[in-house]
Amino acid sequence: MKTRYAFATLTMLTLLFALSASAFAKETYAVDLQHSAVIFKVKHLGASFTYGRFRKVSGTIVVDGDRSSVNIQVDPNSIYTADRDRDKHLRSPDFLNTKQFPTLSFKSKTVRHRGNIYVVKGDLTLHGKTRGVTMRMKHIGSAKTPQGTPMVGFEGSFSVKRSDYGMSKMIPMVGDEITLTIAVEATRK
Amino acid sequence: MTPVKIIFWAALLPGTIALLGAFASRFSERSTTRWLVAAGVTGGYMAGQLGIVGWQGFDGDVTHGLLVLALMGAFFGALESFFDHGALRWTLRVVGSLAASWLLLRPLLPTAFLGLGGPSNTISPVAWPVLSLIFLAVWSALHRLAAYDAGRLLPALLVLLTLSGGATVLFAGNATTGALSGPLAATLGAIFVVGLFFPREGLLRPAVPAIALVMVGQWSIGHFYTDHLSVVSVGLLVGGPTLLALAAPLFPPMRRVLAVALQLSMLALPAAAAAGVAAMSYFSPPPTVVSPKDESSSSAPSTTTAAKGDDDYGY
Repeated sequence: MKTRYAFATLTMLTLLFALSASAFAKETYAVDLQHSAVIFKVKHLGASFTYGRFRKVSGTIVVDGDRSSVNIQVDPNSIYTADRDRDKHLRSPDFLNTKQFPTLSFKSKTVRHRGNIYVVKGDLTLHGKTRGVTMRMKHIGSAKTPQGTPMVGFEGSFSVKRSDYGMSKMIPMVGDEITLTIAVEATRK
Repeated sequence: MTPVKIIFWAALLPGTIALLGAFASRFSERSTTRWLVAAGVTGGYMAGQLGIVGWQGFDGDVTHGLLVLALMGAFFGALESFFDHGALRWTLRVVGSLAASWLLLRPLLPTAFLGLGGPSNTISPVAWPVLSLIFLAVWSALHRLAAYDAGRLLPALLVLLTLSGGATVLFAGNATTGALSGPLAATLGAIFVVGLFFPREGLLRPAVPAIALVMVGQWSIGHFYTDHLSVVSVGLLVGGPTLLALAAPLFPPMRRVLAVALQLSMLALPAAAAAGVAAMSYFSPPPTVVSPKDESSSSAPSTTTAAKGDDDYGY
């Protein structure tokens, strides 16, 4: 009888430990290109906003409470504004200068969360310059893929002045302020 | 930028500074003031570029390298004015061409190349000596032409070449660098004006290094940093002054009108053709694409032109 109690207690403790460990373990997710977008808007001639997106996005999200982190890489050559000639121009040294500066990335430094809002402070590297930015990301939801892999979704926006990154040509015809929206879906690695 | 500001920065200010430099160089008959022409052209160009592009520091994008090239040109031009010695001139020219080419291409060279390349690894190291040779060819050609033509024609011809080069770069999808041909053309226009007062003076010669370095620098940015300025266009731009320099001894014995017409056509036609090739590429429809549906459903290759509406460009 004593042996049976001891065995049951040991089993319960093992299960509890396993459950608590999984509840606090950090989870690493890989950005799913097909369901993620980095969208931007910028003023044109001060009259309207022109929207565009980057079609190649990758990165990882680590969900671990306040020790969470975000690391997003964007291929600036994948810029798309639904106009081929404008896209060529945006890749040229007039704007992104993608030949000289092939990196566009965001790397978080600190993450603080309350409920489903994550305040992410980090470094945005654009046009060869790295500057600190703060972004409020909302946890949209969590689910499982049809194959059963856990996935999460986040979305957030922030604005930067492109002149702060040395991209100062054709201002004010093309606005100085760019608003970037990062909407990512990521599946657990 | 308003049209008035554009005219001021791209033409009036650069032209005025170059004009002052060129006139100041004539205040004294001594050769020690010739460098003022180079200083005027460089100062005028730099003022124009700073007005159009602004200042982002030398660690900014490659366009700012043109300011360094202009300064290098002024320095070499001044040295050539003080020490007009053949061997020294060629040494300066080779060193200047290698340095200018390195400055423009460094961000694109493989990192492994001498441990000094940039991050993007997009071009072969062979591009460095090739571009250096182009710098050297144009620099030498302009120097030879300036030696043969002391008067007004060469600055006027170079205005045409500069503006055609600017249009070519513009059509290649790089509007700002194309627009920077404006300040350079304005400084050349100023030398043309001063040449009307001093028709027998070799005004342009001290400014040749700055003009050659900035001009080829602009074409190089158009070619290497946009992918849309073809080798044919660059070849035509470089070929014009090079052929003209080779043919330079033929012109002095000719009738003036015939010599001018020939020189004009030898330089202007290839330059216009270069802009024409770039314009055709710019206005041509996007490449034909094979839609995935067509590929899977038909054995015969059926194509759709993305230009037709271009609605699904990229998808």
